Amino acid sequence: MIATITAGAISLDALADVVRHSSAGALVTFEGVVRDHSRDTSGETHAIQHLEYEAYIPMAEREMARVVEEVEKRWKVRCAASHRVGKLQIGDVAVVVAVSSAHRGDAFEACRFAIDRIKETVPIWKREVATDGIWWVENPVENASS
Amino acid sequence: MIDSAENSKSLLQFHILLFAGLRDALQSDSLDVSLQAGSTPGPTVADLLRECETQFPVLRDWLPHIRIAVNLEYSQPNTRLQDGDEIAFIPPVAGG
Repeated sequence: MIATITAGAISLDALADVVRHSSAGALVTFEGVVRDHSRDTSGETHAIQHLEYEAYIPMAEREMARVVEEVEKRWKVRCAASHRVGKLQIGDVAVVVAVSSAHRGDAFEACRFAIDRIKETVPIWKREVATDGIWWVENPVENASS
Repeated sequence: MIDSAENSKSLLQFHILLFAGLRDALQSDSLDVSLQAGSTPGPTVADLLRECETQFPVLRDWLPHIRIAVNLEYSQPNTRLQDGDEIAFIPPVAGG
């Protein structure tokens, strides 16, 4: 079980190796990658220059670990996850999840659950720096300002 | 000797961490708020929020949208607080 928040680049291979083992016939990985555009709640598309991720690190590590442990228990799989913080450029990997299991069904399902849950509960925030403004994503009070 | 009446007047100090858009809105990365200890059991998260809202009216628009962490765990309104607990206001998260 590995669940980390890191300021450096995440190695997908290293995380996959954490869960790789001889009785696992399936290994599923997910990479969340910084995209060059985003759509706001009004449906307008913005060109992204870069993203800034911030975390409440001690709690984020704890919540990530909780998700990973829940996944391992529920699907009887091995799981590892890492999320990056700081300034990320387009194409940079923000989050990686790796899951191994005996057969592919459980690995796909568990990996999907893990990334969905991480996005729901782990205290990490991102600020989009776009060509037309800067804003925190899912900020309920002021969604766009210059 | 400190009698119970005097005890009940003591103040509990809370250091509240702020993040992301909430930190920008309050122009600070933390708030220090004190509450009367009152009688046991101690104050709840809901009590703390009421006090915060009084002291920082700008929070009113945020409180319905944020979760409150106490000592690195998401709390409930009826979670009891102790002096020195680490509190964090967690605005809607956006990892991934």
